[in-house]
Amino acid sequence: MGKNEDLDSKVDFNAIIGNVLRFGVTISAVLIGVGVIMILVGDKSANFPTSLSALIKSDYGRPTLNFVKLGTGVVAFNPIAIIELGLLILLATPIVRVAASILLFAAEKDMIYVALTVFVLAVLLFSIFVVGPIEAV
Amino acid sequence: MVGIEVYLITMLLISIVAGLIGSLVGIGGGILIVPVLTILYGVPIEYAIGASIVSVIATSSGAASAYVKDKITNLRVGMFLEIATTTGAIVGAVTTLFLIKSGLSWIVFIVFGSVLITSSYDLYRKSRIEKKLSKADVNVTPNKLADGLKLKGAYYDSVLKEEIKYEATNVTGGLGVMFCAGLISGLLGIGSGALKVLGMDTLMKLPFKVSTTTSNFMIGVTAAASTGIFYIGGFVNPILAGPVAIGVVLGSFIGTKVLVRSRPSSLRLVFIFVLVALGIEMFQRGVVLL
Repeated sequence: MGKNEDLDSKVDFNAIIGNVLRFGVTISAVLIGVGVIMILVGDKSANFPTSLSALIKSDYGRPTLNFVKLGTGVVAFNPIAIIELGLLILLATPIVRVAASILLFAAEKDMIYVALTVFVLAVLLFSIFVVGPIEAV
Repeated sequence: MVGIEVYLITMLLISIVAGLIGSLVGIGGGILIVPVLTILYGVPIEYAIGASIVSVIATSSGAASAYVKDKITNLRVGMFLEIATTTGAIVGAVTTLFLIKSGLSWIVFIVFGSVLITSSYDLYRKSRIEKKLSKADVNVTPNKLADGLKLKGAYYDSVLKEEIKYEATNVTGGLGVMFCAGLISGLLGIGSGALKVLGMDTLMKLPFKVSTTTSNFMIGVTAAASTGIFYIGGFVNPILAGPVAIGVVLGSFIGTKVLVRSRPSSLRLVFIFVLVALGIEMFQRGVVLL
């Protein structure tokens, strides 16, 4: 029936997807943890907000939305940039999983599901790159 | 107001407890985060939702990585229904931000309060009837749409010790429920796993186990759709969201791996009361803002 072959090819893909998810969650948790500890024990600049209300009013923690700026922040061991990188990796894990599923369905030559999965990926990218900028304050 | 250091430490601990209890009673810990941030710390609700939704992705990806190998999760069912959950999530996130910008945040509080109270009732109902797989509840009759979309499968049930074959029914109804689940997820920053399971298990007549594992996988993808909006919109503050994300992940990890896999009923009862209390409090906040 060919159904078993189907399952076998799926197992490998699933293992890869599982590892991608695990790796994504682990690395982001480590980055966020490092950033939080750095804020707790490290020296803070004079204008670092001291209370939650000051934090929300300030520019601290506003997403940079700029990969170069984020990269330089991470290299300079800026704790907020490190946490932000962790959060971005977390946001990326389900998106990567959807993208990987396209390959999985393509390998099975299931074109209906390749199309459906491309649609889901498109919705995710639409939310980030089209709806997000509209909602930005 | 609370200092940053105090916030980081206390919120980390609260999030660990939320994730732990969440995994023990079988409800996402994310539902506790927004009430705690708004009521206890006075965080504006849009920032609370932004912090919460990130932790929902973290729990789902963490849980899904453990589930993908088990061959119970139905990737096709999940992916097909995500068409509805992700579009629902975008509508939900846009609605929340619109309501808040228009000075109507009381609506968000009241909806949140209602969802908390509904969840507590759902948990109460589940505590009375332990869900066991009954083959009468699983659809096996072929249906055109489900056949065309291959919304069917089989898995080995370890309790019944036999292979259970299933096929989805009421596909369009299921899509409708999933749109609502996505909407609520995007609106409130929660996983809304209970509603997803309800759609698959009660409406589409899929086995309970397939419904729960597939729902777990879908929660993260659904949450990614609204997180993108809250993130780019500037409502995912790293300092607010950081301790929540690692706390909830740590808590649910401890809950599933370290502690026994039983679900103590007394803990569930306490949790039901916590949900009701938070629901009433969120309701009151909404009324005050009205």
